[in-house]
Amino acid sequence: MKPFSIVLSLILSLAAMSLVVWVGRFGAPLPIAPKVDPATEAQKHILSVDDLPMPESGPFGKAELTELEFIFGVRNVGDEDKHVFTLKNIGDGVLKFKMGKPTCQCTVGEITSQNGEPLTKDGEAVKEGSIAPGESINILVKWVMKVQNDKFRQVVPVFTTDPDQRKIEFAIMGAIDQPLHLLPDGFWDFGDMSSTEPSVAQGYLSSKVLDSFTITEVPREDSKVKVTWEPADPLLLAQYQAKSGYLVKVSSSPDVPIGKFREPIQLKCQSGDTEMNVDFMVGGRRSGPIEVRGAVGATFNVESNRLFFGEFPASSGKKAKVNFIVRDLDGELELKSIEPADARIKFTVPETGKPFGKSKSYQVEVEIPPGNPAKHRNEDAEILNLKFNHPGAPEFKLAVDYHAT
Amino acid sequence: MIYTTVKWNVRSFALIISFSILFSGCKPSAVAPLKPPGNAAVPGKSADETNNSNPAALPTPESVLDSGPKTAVRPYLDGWDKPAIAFLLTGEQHGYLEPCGCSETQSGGMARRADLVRIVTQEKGWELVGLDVGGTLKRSRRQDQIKFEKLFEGFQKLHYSAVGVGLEELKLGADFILTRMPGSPEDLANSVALVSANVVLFDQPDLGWPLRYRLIEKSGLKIGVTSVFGPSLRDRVAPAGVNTNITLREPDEVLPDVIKSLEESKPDLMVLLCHGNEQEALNLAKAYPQFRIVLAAGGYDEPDGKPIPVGKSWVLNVGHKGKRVGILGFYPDNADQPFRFELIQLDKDRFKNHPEMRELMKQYQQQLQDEGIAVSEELLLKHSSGQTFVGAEKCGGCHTKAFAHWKETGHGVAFTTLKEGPWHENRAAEKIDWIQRQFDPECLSCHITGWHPQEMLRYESGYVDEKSSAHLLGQQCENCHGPGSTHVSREENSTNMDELLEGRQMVRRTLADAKKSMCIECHDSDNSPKFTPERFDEFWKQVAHPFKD
Repeated sequence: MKPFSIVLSLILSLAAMSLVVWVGRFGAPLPIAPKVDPATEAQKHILSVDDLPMPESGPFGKAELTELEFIFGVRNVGDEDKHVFTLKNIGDGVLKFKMGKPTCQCTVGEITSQNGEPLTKDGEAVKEGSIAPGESINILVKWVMKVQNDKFRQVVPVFTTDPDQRKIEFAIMGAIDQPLHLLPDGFWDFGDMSSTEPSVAQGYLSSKVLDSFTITEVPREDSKVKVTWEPADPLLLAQYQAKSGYLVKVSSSPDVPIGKFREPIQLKCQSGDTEMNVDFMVGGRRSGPIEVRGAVGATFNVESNRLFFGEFPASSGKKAKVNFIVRDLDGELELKSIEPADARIKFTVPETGKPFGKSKSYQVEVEIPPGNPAKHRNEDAEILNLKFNHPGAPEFKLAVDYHAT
Repeated sequence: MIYTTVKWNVRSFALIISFSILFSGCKPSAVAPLKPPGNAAVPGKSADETNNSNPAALPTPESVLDSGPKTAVRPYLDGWDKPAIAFLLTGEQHGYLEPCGCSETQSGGMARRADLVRIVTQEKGWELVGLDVGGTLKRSRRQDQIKFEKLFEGFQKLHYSAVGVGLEELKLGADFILTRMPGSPEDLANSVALVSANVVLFDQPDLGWPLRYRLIEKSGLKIGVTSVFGPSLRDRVAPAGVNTNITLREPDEVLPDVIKSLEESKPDLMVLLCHGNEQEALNLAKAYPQFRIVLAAGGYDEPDGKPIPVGKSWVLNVGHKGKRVGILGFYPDNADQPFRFELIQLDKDRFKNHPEMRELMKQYQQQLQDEGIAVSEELLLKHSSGQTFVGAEKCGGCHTKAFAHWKETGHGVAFTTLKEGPWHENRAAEKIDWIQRQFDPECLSCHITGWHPQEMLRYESGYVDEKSSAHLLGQQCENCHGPGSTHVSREENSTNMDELLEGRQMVRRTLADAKKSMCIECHDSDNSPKFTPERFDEFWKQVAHPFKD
């Protein structure tokens, strides 16, 4: 190759590299390097035994543990606790160790001196070290019980150069409970409510941690819902592993309006000088003659009687199957007509319904046929009036929300 | 020979450009769709390893998030031979579509689960069947129904075949469960099925839903799957005395028949999903050894990942909140060791957010907005004080310095973060392709004012929407001090000192209150894992307002 060619090649190479660097600089976003806060850095731990290589030759250390698990029983939400595990080297060689990353930031492991003081070096917590034969270290595990959890288990791993125990997991286990526990928790659903008889639901308010408490008041404004309580059967409390508790009965009169019904309940309680409130919701549904209970291929909101098809290509259209539950009708359900008569949306009602308790279920096909784009969202949803042969519900209004693009 | 020389240089220039582009990277790597299996594979490598080993790949938004300081990346499925079939085992997700809590550092999430599925099915080329033991949700509101539907769409994409009916599914109600029933046998064949041997809806055992069992045929193998709801959870489904249209039969009444039906198909493996407590799972594994695998709910939230042997069977736990998933390999030709199991933590260091699941999350948020879930009456709650929320501007009328300071804090911009992404500098990368969450009650409850933060319910005078509740945006004074209507009204109208002092007392909170029980309502272990009692002072410094005006 001639000197000219070599020089030209070099110049072109440099130009190419510069161009690529320049394009790379402006042509694509640079990765944003996350700013790491000191706590995160301080909490860096090793994740695998690869970060603690074995010595090339023995004698090796051997780890002896007094316990691997600590069961703390039942504690209150918000409590903190700690426990000391001991790791002893009963081998002939030095045992090296490194702290691993705990399974949760609510749990911290620290190496401590025999008197319980955290060991530090240059102001940083000691995370690794060596244990001479016959010596031991203490590992202080602290944990915070932030939320209710029946099966709390967190682990602080420690990696070692014991060939038989390269990774040791110190586990903290137990249950974290609220002082007061409602059973069933959350929403109390009356389900299908009777039109003639009161609906009654009962459950328990109990405590696994309080020896005693009292329900002092249940403020009620709505007379349709009544709450009563009485001390719970001790045998039942024992079954729930509770120390104290009440049987709580909620009853609702049969004349709640047709449709969905919800009512908040607050149980005001006291234990010693401490006042506590337990809030929950009760509710149910008084069924009408025709109801929609869900859809496949679309979604249905019972509260707003609205069928959501979402966004789809206008050229392909969209279909859904909607479950109509029909009561108190002799014979089969028939769709007589739809208003407006020129509605784009088509309904196909099966000739026969499936038995569904004392009712019948009809899986009605609802189709938005292929056609022009149209947007019927929110307040512009298509409102359809379905006219059935049901004497108790000759008309059924349904909103259909969609965007055919 | 100038011509030749120039030609050589043009060639070398082109080559240099090509190699340089290849090694410096000019276009982001695309994430393969979950179905059908693709061929962009680096077998045996994790998502991160694949990324790192491919210098042509510029970071996607997700991998930018993952580019923080790293220690060793733990290998997984290390040294596994290709199984005849692999199972993705999950359960007790408790409503966590995304990583547990709103912190990216937390584990879990459907998007990372999807990345694992991609790696297993596409990079490793394994056949995969997903099974879930139930407990998908936390509550039973309309939002949970929507979440359930989206979750099933996700399951569908992630090769799931069966989901056990658990406590949370039953709480959705018999009629809602029935809406999940596919309309035809063809639809059913292509759908994720709800399965339970002992849950009967509407007193109709022949209703056909949930399925009593499912026979899965894949990779030339037949896998029989059924599920039972543990009697220990019976009291938790609904209060006594109500008609739920749900009947729970004893497992011992139903399992012999189910086993008989399954055995007629000569399955290669039978799996039981047990949604009860751990002891029930152990008892059933012992009583019905035909089930070589029992996937159990009711175990510890962070299980040790070790199979519990019961005879020749294994009882497996996968923990809570979808932070971990189990991969079970089935090797029918190895009579001595037919199974391998590994519990894999879905952490940000090893798994990317798969775009298909992010898209699902976007659709979920869109549906919450479309249905007006946050403004629905279903969420309404009366405040026990009987007072109403007035908004921080009102407070700032007198407490000028505290108000001015609050506006500069994270609390002051809490609502904006739902729309634009985290405000912290070190989480700026999350703002790229941010999925807005300002219509999601589960997010709103700690980012606006006047909601119950843990129950995610809206107090009557609390935030409704951005337009009508502009005075309640962000995490304001009254979320900690309580609604201020009485205090404000008395300060504005009363001259009676006793009344004024009483009003002030109503909104007085001590540092001890804050430390013990108030801050933790939002700074809980999921959403603020670094907030611990030891670090309270550090957090408090940012929002302290000891101003006397």
